[in-house]
Amino acid sequence: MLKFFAGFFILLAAFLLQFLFASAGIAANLSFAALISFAFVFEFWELLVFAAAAAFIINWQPAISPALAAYALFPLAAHFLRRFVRWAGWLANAAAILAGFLLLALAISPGALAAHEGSFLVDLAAGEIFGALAFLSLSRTTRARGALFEA
Amino acid sequence: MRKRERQVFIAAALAFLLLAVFEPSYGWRIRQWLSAGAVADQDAARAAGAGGASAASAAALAAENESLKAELAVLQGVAAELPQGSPSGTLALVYSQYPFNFKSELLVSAGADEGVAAGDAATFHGVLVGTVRRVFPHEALVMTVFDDGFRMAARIGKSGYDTLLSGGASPRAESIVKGAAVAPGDIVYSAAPGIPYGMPIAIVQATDTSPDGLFEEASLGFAYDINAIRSVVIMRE
Repeated sequence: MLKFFAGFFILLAAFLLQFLFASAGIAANLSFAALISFAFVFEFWELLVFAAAAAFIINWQPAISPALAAYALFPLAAHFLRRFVRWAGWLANAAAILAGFLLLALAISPGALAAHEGSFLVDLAAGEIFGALAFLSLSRTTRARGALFEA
Repeated sequence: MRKRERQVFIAAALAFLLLAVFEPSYGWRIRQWLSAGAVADQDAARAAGAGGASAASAAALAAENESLKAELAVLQGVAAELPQGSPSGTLALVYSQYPFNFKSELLVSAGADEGVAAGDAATFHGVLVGTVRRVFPHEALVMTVFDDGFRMAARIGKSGYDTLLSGGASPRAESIVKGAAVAPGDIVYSAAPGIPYGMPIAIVQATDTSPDGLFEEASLGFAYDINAIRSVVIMRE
C-alpha cells in the first residue's frame, strides 16, 4: 500500500507540474509519462486505478476522444507487453515512453507530428526525464520493501 | 495481491471511469483547482517582477486598446460595409483547456441549450480568441486562433486588405496582396461569414514575403494570454 500511495503522490506531482508548464505555454505530458512508468512497477489492478483516475482528471470535454483512449489504454498495454521485453527495466521504460508519446501524437493529429517536431521533442524529453525519475524512485521503494520483509 | 485488495482497486477504477464518462465536470473542477495553484504561483512571480502591477488588468487594457484600434480601422475604412443589426453574446466560463500538444481548445460553460452553435465567435474583452467547433447540450468546444487547424478570412488595417488568418503556436496573417501598405501596429479584424464583422483579433508585429514570393505575410501579436483566460463571450452575427 505504501508504494501505491507513493505512486499517487507522483501522479499528483506530475499533474501539478504539467499544469504549471501549460500555464507558461509549454506542453509537457508528465502525467502520461508517469502512467507508463507505473506499468513497469505496479500490478495491473493498481495501474487500472491510476489510469482511470488520470483519465478522469485529464478529460477536457464531455465525450471520449481517441487521444483520451490512447492516454488511458497505452499504459495498460505496456503492462502486458513488458513481459515480452527482455531489456533492462529503465531501458524498457524509456522505450515505452517514446512509443506512448508517438502513439498519442498520432491519435491527436497524424499530420501534426511532422509540423511540430520541436515541441514534440520538448514534450518527449520532459516525459522521459520525469518517467525515469518515477520509475527509479518506485523501483527503489519496491526493492527497499523487499529487503525489509527479507530481514 | 489479496482478493479483498483487488476488489477495492476494481471498485475504485470503476468509480473513476464512471465519473470520467458520466460526470466529467468533477474532473474539470479538480483540474481547475490544480491549475489555479500553478497559475497563482506564476501570477505572483509576474506581479513581483512587474513591481506589483496586476497582469490581468494589463491584459484587459491591451485588449481594450486592440478593440479601439479595430473600431477605428472599421470606421475609417470600411464603415459602409458594416452589416445591419448588433451581435448578441452569451457569457461562458472556461472549464478546461486541451491538455496535450498540437491543439488549442477551450471547453466553455455554454452549449446548445444556451443557444450556442458551431461557428460562433468566442471573444475575450471584445477580442476574438476562437470559434466554436463542437457543441454539447451545456458546453461548447472552442478552437482558438492558436490551434493549427484554425483558418479565417480577415482584414488588416485602415485600408482593409484581405488576408487569411492561419492559426498555430504563432498565428500569421497570410495571402496579403503584394505591395499592400501593411505596417507593424495595424489591426487584424474579422471578416468571415457567421462572425460579427470588424472584431479585433491581433496586431501586426512584422511583415515579410511568403516563401513562394507571391504574397505578403505578417506575424501577429496578441493582447492576452490564452492560458490565463477564465471566461469568454460567445457571439454570433
